[in-house]
Amino acid sequence: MRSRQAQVGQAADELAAGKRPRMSGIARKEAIAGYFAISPWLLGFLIFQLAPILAAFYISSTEWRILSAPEFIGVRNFDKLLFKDDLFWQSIKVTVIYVIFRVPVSAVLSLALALLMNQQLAGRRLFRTIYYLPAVIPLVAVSMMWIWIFNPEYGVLNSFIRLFGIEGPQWIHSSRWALPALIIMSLWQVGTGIVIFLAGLQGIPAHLYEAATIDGANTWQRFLKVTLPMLSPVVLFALVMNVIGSFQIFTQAYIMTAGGPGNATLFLVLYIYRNAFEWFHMGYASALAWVLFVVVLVISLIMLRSSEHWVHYEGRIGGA
Amino acid sequence: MKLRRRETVSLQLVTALGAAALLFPFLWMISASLQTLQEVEAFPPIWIPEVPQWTNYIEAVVNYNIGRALLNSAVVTTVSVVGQLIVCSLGAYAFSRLRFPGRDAIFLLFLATMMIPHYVTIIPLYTMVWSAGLIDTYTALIFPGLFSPFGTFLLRQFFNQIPISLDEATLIDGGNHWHIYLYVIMPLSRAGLGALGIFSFLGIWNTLFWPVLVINSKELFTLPLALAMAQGQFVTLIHVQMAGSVIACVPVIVVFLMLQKQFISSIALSGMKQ
Repeated sequence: MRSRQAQVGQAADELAAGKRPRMSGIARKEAIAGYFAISPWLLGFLIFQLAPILAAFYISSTEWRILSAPEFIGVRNFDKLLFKDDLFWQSIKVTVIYVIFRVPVSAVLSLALALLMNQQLAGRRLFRTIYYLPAVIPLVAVSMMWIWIFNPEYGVLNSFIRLFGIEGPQWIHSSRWALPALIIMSLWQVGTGIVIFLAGLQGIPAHLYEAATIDGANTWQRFLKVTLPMLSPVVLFALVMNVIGSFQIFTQAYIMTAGGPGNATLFLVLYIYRNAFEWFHMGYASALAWVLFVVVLVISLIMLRSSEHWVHYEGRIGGA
Repeated sequence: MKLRRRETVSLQLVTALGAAALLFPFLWMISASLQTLQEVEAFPPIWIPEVPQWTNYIEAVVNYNIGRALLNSAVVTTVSVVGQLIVCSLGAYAFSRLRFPGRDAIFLLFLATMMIPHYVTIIPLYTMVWSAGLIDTYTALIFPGLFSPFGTFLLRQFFNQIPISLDEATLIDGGNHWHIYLYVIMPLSRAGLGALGIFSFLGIWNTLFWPVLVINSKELFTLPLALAMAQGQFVTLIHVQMAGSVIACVPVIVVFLMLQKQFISSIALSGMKQ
């Protein structure tokens, strides 16, 4: 067999001579199989992912009403949304409030429920099914159901509140309560978080708890000193995913409130949808979509950066 | 963690209460779907209808064209999931097992695009479908979803865990790369394929955004779209709406109860994406 150096040298000579490096028969077969296997996916990726991304980049710098040709206007879309568009800032405000309340509350709730599920309780599997069920059914059906639960006159929620002699709020029909209503509703679907946390909890070795018990730690101390640090990578993962998902809320607002009342639930994606598909401002909508990307990216990076201070990775000394 | 008896009992109680609270809206939906409009609007709320109104379901099927929507959703979801499994597993196989010039460059490019949200690409995608004259077709519903970047990534991670010595053994026995894919990789990745299958089943069955954009005619409505449109059209018919919602939930719940273990592991695995 020739030395590696000689091979590299030959390959370089061939390249210099404008020839393609020669492949062995086996390698060529493998490469052909590779191109063959990847081509359906690659074609789809280029057409339905890469090309649209590049196109979206260009479209965001144009004024384009879909029926006429796009007109290049540079950064004017971004200038407009940052400095002249109150609705954009309203949509950012509403979306950020939703994320700020929804993500931590649902994390605490699903962690608490996962801890419960992790105990030796009777009917564990049944409970797990029940807790997870709301996360699998169609969001449209969920939304229609909650419209009526939130109905001020004959919804079950206000009927329940009336038992205490109080008249409940107007929920999704009030500009003050519509956003809190959607946050409450989102907490109903904690199943995904529970499942992720439960998988994490079951990965914590039992001997750590035993050692802590021998050292005299009580339940609360074991939770603080063993469970939380060991679970922290999963917590980080769940938080980041939840933030990314929550920023993209659309269906609930589309079905239940149409962004109202008074734009109280005009989430960013709904505003993108309106600009693109109701008003046909394709360029402006693309610019908004890039803003969504940048906001989510920056927040994810901040969370990952901060994780150095609170996420504990096994095998690292002095972590947590 | 061992707990004392009293603690166990109270935890059991909390768990049961939580479960009841979560089931509450469900039960109300089912109950309302079997009531008359007067009963739905009564105060205090009625939980057991005097005479179950099964005709609400017939009305939902007729008014909302639910039968057709169910068929559409079933066709679109089945073709999409099967297609996605084939396309993504082939792509993942190439990324994981086959060396060819440009592979790593493609993979890097692909990773770089994974962070970009769907809503960035949806405007160009829509204009593409529109100018190709594919608005209002099954093709528009199915095609763009077949090439899931996420699915390829997930399966590649799975395939990477399968020992390469199995590939070599197949080659020595006179097999080719196609044999490795079909008889080694695929059978050993059932868990991964199942996870991706369930994950995309849920996503495609439940999605509203894309069908809203590309479908106009009633005959092609998927279930979520049919429900959403009916919601706008028959605003006050709560009982019929709830019947429609129950119909939309039943297939997902049946599949969930049948494949519960796989569902759970699919979420634990692919919780990576909402």
